[in-house]
Amino acid sequence: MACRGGGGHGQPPSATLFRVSPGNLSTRRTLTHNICMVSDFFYPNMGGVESHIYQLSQCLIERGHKVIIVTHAYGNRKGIRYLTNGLKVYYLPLKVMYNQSTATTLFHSLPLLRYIFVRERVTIIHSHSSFSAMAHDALFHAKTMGLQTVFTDHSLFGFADVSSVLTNKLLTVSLCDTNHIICVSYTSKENTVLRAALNPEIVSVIPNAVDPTDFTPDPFRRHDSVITIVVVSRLVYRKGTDLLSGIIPEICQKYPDLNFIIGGEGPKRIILEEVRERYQLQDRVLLLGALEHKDVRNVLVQGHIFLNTSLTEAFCMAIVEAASCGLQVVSTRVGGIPEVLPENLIILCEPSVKSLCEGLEKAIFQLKSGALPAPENIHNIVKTFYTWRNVAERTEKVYDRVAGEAVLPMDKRLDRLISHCGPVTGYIFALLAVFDFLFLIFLRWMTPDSLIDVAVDATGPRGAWTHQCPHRIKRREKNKMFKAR
Amino acid sequence: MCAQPVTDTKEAKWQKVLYERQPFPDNYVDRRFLEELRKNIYARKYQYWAVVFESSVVIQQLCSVCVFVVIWWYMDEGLLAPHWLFGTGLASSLIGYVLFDLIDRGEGRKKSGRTRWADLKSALVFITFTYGFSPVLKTLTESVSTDTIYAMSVFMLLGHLIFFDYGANAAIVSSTLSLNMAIFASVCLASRLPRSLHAFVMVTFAIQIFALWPMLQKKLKACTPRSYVGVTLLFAFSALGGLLSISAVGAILFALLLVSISCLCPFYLIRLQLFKENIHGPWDEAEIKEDLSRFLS
Amino acid sequence: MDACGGPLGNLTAHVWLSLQNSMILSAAIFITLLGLLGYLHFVKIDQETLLIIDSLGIQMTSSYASGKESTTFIEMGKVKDVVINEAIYMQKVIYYLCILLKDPVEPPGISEVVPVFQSAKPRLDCLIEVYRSCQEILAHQKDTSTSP
Repeated sequence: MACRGGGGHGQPPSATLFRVSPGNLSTRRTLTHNICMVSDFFYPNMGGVESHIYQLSQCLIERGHKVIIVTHAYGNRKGIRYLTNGLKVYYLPLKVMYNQSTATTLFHSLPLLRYIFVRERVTIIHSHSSFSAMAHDALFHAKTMGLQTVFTDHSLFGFADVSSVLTNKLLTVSLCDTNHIICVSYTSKENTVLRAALNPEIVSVIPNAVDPTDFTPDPFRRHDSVITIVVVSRLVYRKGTDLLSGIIPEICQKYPDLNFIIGGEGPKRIILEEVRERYQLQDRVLLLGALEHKDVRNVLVQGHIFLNTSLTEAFCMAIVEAASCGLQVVSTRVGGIPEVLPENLIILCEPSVKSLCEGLEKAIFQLKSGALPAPENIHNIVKTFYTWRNVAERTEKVYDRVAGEAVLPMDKRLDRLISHCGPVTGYIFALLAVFDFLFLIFLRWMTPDSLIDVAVDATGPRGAWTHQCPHRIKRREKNKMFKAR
Repeated sequence: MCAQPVTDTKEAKWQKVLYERQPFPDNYVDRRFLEELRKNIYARKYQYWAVVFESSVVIQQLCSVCVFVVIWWYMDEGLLAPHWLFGTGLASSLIGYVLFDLIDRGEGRKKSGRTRWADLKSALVFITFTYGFSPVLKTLTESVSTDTIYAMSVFMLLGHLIFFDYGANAAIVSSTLSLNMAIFASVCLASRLPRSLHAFVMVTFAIQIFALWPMLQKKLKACTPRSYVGVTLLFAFSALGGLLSISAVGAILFALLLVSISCLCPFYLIRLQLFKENIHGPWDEAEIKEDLSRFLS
Repeated sequence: MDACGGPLGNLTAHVWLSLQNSMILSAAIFITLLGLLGYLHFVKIDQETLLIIDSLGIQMTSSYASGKESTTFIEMGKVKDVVINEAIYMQKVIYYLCILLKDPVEPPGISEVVPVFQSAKPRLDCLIEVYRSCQEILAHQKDTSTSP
């Protein structure tokens, strides 16, 4: 697959800027892929999906694959950028509609995406997050162009209300001809299989990871005269901030030698401030506001106990980060959380104030009686659980499997859409798929693939970043004149 | 992945945990897959007659609209003297007013803390103003064609039926909007009546049947369900009778509508319950069941 | 009256109409010609030239279809480097050659990026050839300016 990258399309360009040296191919792996990650969510936006994409890409580059990322423009950050190790990011000028997700007409993104897929010789499209319209667009166009697709789902959805019924239908359409789906936990897999009516065999579970070197314990930063409970989350309803507002007064009244540190920002911050005001806890409850990712560790190491009150969670990175910093974790038993940490490192509670208070009291008792293992020991256990290298290895296996599959031809694809997505939706999207195909033919007629310059690889087997050898410059004295006509 | 050889699956038992490397491929599907799936845990079992009883609210409202239109037709034709309607309306309002307090032995009144003097005052203010403005009502829509008025009234009455508070907890329900639409329809229709006294009586009647009558109904339904059923039947038959005196076909259609709403729709609802498939599982967003406002008040 | 006035009136109307028509027509032709001239003179670029002389600087000339030429000159002291860059242009992603200018305030910085061959937009293989030669000359220029 990868040899398509440079094979029959003229000699690979060797400009000094790109420091390409042909003939020096890396042979770390026999089968390398040209992967394009597509999601609306990428840096400078911060969150779980963003760091997942970045870390996974870095590890895949390390393993010799070519990886590019496509996202939408963030303010002034538009065009093409290179990140560490030559990770190339396309910030496309598409309009943002809601919550950093682009508006979708299903067609307007085709010209640019097609151009990028062709010039980068992409073989596998890997879309992230079901909230991202661009990810779904890319899956749709990729299938029209006959490329292999992989989708990673990062979130859980219910089935109860009208909005989830509609979004689940869209997901069914979007995933109906996707080659493989990756979920971050077994609960998430069950959820996705049900939502999109999938065959569970094509859904893999590959958890998120945490960089353990970023989250190391530091017992000297915490004061052992008082117990400190740390909460780091966005302060929104889904993260259970309402529960937190009930827990704080209960626990603070019971234990006079206990403090709270709360990091994060959100619309529910106001109720925490009200509680703090009402119970006169200004000196015991510290609200830090929004935290940068690099500051999270410094906040975590100040505490003894980490409290997570989420109401729904596919895979909770926060509790792994906290455990990696050596904190005792108290969390609600929702979504994929029970799968994340072994029982001796986490206290699971029901999502109610009473149950969470009991869990906290148990943790406090263990702490006071010295039954808890030392932070260093917890860190050493947790750091073996989740690493990005492992995630990349397992994702690579998915790519290998997908690369060997056949892409459905157009008629089979339409059949599948109609048979899989229900009579009404199926026909509508089959029609849209036909339009997309016609649009693609039109674009191919306007600018044939042969007229599109092949991009110079930054990563992968022929990547300029992979082999940095200085280019020799011949010295000649001559005045030159160039004409371009 | 499937490429990975699966060797010791027999000894190792699959666990639903992520932190351990298990000797299974990533896309392995265990027998325990979806074992925590629950269906229809919040589904309600409906009893046929209970649903029929609940449907009486809709019947009542349909009949109210029907009675209102029938009365208007009689007034428009000159078959019904406004004095007579006003007298009957006043008398039945007084009876209803007394009943309203009698049903729950004045408990509702005590709870709301509203005095009889206040009731009398608002009634007087309303009657005086409507009477004073009735000439204006009469001439208000003179420049509008009669067809438009009829069309508008039909839409308004339909809107009244759609937005009426039948007791469902939905976003579309708005009793204020519903009442306003009914009153608007009555003003429209009243303006086509021969004299301003007619218009005044028509609007007063609209208030009685669209604002006061549902209040009494609600209380009747809550306190004495048996008599409520009786009242509903009586009301439905009188509405049908009134309609029959105008148009036999209309009466038959209306009767069919009432029967289908009160008997067929509940039957259909219960049949459809069998097809209900509501999925629940560990992925559902947890609900906070406690009242957390106590920490803030 | 009608018999003789009719054809005569018709004729005058006809003449007048054709006169008016020809006025409109000639105006349209005139405007089109002007527009065409303007297009050839200000918009349509026929040829773009990049002249690089190591002791002097870089001269960029664009010749319009009408024969008009516009020239920009950048002296060598200002030029920091010549590079190939990528950009999203309309619904395409293209490579282009550009000249980086030194920031007079802080020399390591870049004050401006001047794109070259803006209308021709040559493809990558062509750009690389130009780029290599530019680099050779720039390197030579640096050698001579530092060594003596």
